[in-house]
Amino acid sequence: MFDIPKIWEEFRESSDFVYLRQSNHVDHYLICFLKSITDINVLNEQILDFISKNAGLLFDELFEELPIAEKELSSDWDEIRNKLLLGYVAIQQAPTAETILLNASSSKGRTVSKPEIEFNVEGSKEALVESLDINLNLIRKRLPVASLRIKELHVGDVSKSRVAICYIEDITNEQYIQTCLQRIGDIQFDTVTDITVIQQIMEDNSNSIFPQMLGTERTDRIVWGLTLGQVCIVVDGSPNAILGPVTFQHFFASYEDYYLPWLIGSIIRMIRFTSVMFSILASSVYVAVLTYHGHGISNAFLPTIIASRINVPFPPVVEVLIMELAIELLREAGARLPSKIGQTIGIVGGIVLGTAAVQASLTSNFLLIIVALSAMASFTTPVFRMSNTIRILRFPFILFAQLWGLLGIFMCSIIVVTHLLRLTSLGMPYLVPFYPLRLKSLTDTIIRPPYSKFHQRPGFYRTKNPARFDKRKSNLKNDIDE
Amino acid sequence: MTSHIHERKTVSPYLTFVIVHAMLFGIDFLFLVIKPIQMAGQDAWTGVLLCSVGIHIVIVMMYSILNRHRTDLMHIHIRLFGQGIGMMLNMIFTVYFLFVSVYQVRLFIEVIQVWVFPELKTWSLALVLLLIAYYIISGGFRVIVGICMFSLINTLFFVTIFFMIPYFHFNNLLPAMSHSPHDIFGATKDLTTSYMGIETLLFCYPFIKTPEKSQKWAHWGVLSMTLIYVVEVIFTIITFKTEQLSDELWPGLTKYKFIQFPFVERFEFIGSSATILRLFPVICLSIWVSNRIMKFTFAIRQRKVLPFMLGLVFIATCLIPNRVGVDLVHSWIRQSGISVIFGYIPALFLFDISRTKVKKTK
Repeated sequence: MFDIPKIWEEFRESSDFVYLRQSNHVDHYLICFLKSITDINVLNEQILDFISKNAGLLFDELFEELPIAEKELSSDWDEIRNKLLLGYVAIQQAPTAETILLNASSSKGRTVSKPEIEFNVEGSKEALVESLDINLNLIRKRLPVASLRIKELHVGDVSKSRVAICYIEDITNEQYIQTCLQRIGDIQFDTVTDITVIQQIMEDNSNSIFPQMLGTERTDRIVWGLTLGQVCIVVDGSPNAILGPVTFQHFFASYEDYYLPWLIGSIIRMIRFTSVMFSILASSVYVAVLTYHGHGISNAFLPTIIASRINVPFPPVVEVLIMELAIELLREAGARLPSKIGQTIGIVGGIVLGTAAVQASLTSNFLLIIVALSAMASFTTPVFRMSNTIRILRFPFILFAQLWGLLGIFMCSIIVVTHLLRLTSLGMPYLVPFYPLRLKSLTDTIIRPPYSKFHQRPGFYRTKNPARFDKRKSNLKNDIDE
Repeated sequence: MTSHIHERKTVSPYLTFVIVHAMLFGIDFLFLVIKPIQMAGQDAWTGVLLCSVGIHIVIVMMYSILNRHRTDLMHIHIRLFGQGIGMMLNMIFTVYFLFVSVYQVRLFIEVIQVWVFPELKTWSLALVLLLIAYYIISGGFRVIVGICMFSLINTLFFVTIFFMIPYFHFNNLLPAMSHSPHDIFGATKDLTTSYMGIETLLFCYPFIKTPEKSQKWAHWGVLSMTLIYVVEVIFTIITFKTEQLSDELWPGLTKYKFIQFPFVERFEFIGSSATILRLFPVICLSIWVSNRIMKFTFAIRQRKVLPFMLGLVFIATCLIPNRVGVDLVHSWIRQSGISVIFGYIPALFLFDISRTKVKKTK
């Protein structure tokens, strides 16, 4: 019998550290593990059972015969300590310096469930979960090709999060892969709890309100991006992945567009673009017109507006700001509360407050419609981070509209366009294929073209293999009456 | 001594079209038709065509010089005239481009003061415009060209010209060709102002990927603008009487008064605010060019010169008090523009050709 070696001292303070003296009358072993992350069943039924039944084995023989797939023989203390923290079981025998490490880790987590943010009616109902292994399994299952590469890195001195970078070797441009690897390798932050942390640190311009990487929880979207030439980054512990490089229009393409017939998909996509424009501009145009350009409204329309605003004591900008803030408040309250109470808040806030505000002449009916419509329109953005951006973007527009009317709205749009022109995503211009104009890649932007027109990957990804399939074979049509 | 621009900072040759289009579709467009029509009446459109032919020849000359030296004008100056005179010529161009931007900013503020906000102070708007210009220019050449591209949506407003169709008097176009060549040439000379801006290509040259290919696009840009000018001139002739036109300052904006939508009673608010899209390409490229020259001449960082330059433009803009001042600056700009385009560039072309021939014979 021997005392606990000094090397385990630092673990003894933790209550989930277990050290057993196990013996089978011939040999004596010291078995150490952290019970919080170790599968007790594996330990009992396979490891302890094997040891008690096989007396008289040499230490090396024991290592070779133990029926565990992942096992190691090590004498490096750092490695032993790190493995123990990952759920390995360490077995030592008194006189030898070597330690057997057996993987008996158990990870508890969610099972694969429905997508909750990027919800869809048609198409698969499978979303990423918090476990990296399950996520990689979901991705690889859909892409049974050898050229799908998964590079794993560890990020964060404290959290030591596993980060996986996935790409398809013979499609994705080498430059994007290297950029991703380098930027993730450079991350100094100590705790990475979610993919959004990595996203914010590695984005080209982290001061921008526009996301420069596309966050998604849908495996089909990830696979689509990978096959087009994007890089996908997954982190252990986050039910989201990010895709990059991306362009501005990607954020307005719901993945469901690809599941609908192309005409319907295109029309819905165009409606979405219009609604985003409406959402950004509607309330600021209201402020501009009512503050400065009142005589610009047509005579048929003027009485309606005057009648609805006649008792409102505030100038238009105050009225708009109150209403916009009220909507933001409703949204924020709805998001922070459990879903059942959230609905109640929606009813109380939306219907009761809205009607009461109009009856109390705090706001006009007309504005209420505009604000509610533009709030609704901003929710049509399929990517959550972009819909946040759209909501925030309204406020500078309202400010400029108050200062210089329609001219201010034009100014603000020039500023926003300049900002977008200056942005890049992993070095790729953000507004491509509109600027720089890439006519061939314009197909999948505002409209969603039919699959027969998808014979090429978008040129702006600069892929190693631009062709998706042979165009000549697919486009043959029979002549009339043949 | 060729200037090397990193390939990531260059733009595709077709964007020359965008640059030319945006530079020529400036605020001047809104009133450029008045004087030619007063001079050449219903035959003013021939003046547009003549002027366009002249501009095409100038572009050929420009590209001939540029392609021979494969660099931009400021390097060519030094190469042809030596350090001293070359530097002086460069400085003259800096001042010229600064003046153009001062004029454009003031002109735009004038439009806003006349059409939208009569009470607006010149300095307040100038300050905001130049701050936005700073943001654009500090993004570099690619961003400026991007803004040029964005400003192309302004061409959509040109389509509104068709709202005037009920008011057309085609008889105004007759009798055709009744003016003397002198009148028509006068109109041509006056129209040169509207083609000002192509001289920036002399400085953009190294920023274009495979710049030799961009000549075709420059010609296309001028061609499309010629078409737009001809349409504008003809439509103005058949909409307004010549006497009416002498009372007009901004026929390009007056035509927005013909437009009516169910929601919008007075489209000119939108139209005159959208003039801002005409402003930014011109001032950003002009200030950028003078910035480049300063950087080249004094070897200072563009980032450091830029606020200084914008400050100068701001002060100069505020010093132009009213319409009279704007007109005065306009006449200076017109004179210098004409002498740059039809005087200096051909002269430089001839000098360059004779110089290379002399070198060859030696």
